[in-house]
Amino acid sequence: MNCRKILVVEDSELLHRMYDLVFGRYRNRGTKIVHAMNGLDGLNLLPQHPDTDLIVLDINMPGMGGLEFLDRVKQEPTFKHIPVIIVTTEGKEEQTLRGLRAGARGYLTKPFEPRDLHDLIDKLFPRDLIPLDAGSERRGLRE
Amino acid sequence: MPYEEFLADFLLESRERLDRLEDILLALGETAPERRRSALDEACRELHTLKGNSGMMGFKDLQGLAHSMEDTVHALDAKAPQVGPLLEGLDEFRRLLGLRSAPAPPSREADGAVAPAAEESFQGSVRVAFSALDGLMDHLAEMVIFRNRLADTVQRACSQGAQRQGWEEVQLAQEVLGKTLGLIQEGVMRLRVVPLRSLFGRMKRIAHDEAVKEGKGVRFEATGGETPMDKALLEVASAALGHIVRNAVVHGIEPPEVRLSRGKSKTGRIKLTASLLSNEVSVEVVDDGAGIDRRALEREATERGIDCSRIDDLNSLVFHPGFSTRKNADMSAGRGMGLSSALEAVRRICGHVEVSSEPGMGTLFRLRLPLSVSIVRALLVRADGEEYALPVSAVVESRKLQPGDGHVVNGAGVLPWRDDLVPLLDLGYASRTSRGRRESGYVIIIEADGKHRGLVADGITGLREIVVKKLDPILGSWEGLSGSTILGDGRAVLILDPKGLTSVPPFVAGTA
Repeated sequence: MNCRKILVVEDSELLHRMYDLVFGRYRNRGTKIVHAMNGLDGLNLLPQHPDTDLIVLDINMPGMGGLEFLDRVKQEPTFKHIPVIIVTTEGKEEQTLRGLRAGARGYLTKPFEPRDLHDLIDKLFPRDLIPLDAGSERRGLRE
Repeated sequence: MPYEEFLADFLLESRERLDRLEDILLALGETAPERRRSALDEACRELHTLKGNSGMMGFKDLQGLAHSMEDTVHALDAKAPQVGPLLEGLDEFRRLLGLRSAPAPPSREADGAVAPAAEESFQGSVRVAFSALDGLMDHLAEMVIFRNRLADTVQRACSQGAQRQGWEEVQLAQEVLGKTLGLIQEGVMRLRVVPLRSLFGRMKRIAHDEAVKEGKGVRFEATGGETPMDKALLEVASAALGHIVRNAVVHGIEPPEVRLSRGKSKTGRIKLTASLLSNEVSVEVVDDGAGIDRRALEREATERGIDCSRIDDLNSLVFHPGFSTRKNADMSAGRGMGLSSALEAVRRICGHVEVSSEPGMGTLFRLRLPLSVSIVRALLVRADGEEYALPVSAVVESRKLQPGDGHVVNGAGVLPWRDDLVPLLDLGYASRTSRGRRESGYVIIIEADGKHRGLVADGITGLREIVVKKLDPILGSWEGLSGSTILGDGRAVLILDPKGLTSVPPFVAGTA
């Protein structure tokens, strides 16, 4: 698997910008980032981006929340294999558990630092997403 | 902090979320009980996101505050939600955000990408420091003054017979310069404009807080949020409207039991309507309360030695300093000072306030504000060798005055005008430069607050764009003046205040 696209489902503009920064190291290697503002938006975007290789999913969103989105994705034969990382905020551990039971591959708790997400992705996808040289991370950060 | 460069984004998004949260909380009382739960869920979601984002930014205090507010929302009783503590938390959150708005220390990164310090909470897409625009306006105002000076010089030179070709070119150049300046002026004015909506939240909050304090039920509605307004004027309007809304809750809306006994709904209504007229912005505040008690006003006026027979509109007494029909002054409305000083500020920027009231039905306050603040078109008028600037917005018409045109009624000079009699006010007499009224010259009909006056002067000397400068209070004040300006030739000229002029008694010594 080669990570072609990462779909970020998140309702905060600020977080989207932060993900852009955090994913800088992967973008340098050709990975594209697709942004969705809530679960419904994400479901609409998925068919347009069949080459999505990772979904980063916020749980707490207006309209369609993360858990419902996850359930719907897992019912779609075309998309149910896409690995999902759920992102929750401190104090919502029960949501994390529900997400993991629904088939999420990993979770992250806000606040997190860029390296927390990098470490998690490295753990989940050992060979594919790690940049060739560690130095590219700095460049990515200031991009 | 790994996400330092996002400070400005964080501040902006947080303020938007806080505004939404405030909206939800303030609307909760009017939300149907079965929909309250979902409104509260939404409030929780906003707080939860605020908490997460604050955490990401490394702001532990904000994170903690959002967390405890979230707990408070969870504990709210959907049947009778008490939002007071949450609103306080919201204010605290805003205050803490304000502390973070201080300019960030310079980044040590080589590319110098410093997070821009977020300025005041602008809605929409204007992200320029207001102070920068203000500075630009000041320079522009100076340019207008010097352009006027240039125009005067050129005109003088031409009239003195300087026919050489050089002057024609100077004339042409200054005309083009004038047009370009006009365009720049318009452009900068447009940059300073923000939608009035940014003020609605504050008004809604004032209505809510006062209603809670007074133990009254108030529903606040606002329309016309897209109405544009100069940011500087918005501040003045905000202060005045704040007082008017407060006044409407405290004095206008009756306590629930009184309303019920009068056959009204238990909850009072305050409606704010903003609209853009041709050359000004109108903001109306209507309440369905008790209306102004004219008899109480009259009583109080008599006690203070004010002669009510001289006042055409008794309602306007509410604008007098220290005037209040409420016996026990408290912290908010009831001191009578706030409203009059806020309205004074409105007048200073050439705005007007009107009030009309129907006993038992309610009161209407109408605020009329100019579109832009510091440059106005003015007619230059002369009396006894003194020149004055009169804002064109108040001028209805002007004409020559011949001896015998006017006559005297009840001691005041009047002029037949449009099937009516308009009181004449001699500019020289009113400003104490002459002892009697002149019989000939020019009469300029002005209008303010629906009242007309015929201003009598020796002549009309020009039409200019003038830059309004406030008068130093040390000079004392005369109600007929609103400020001063500097003309192209460097002379300082006083600016007349149409509203003040229409309230000057038109009586002339020796004619009564």
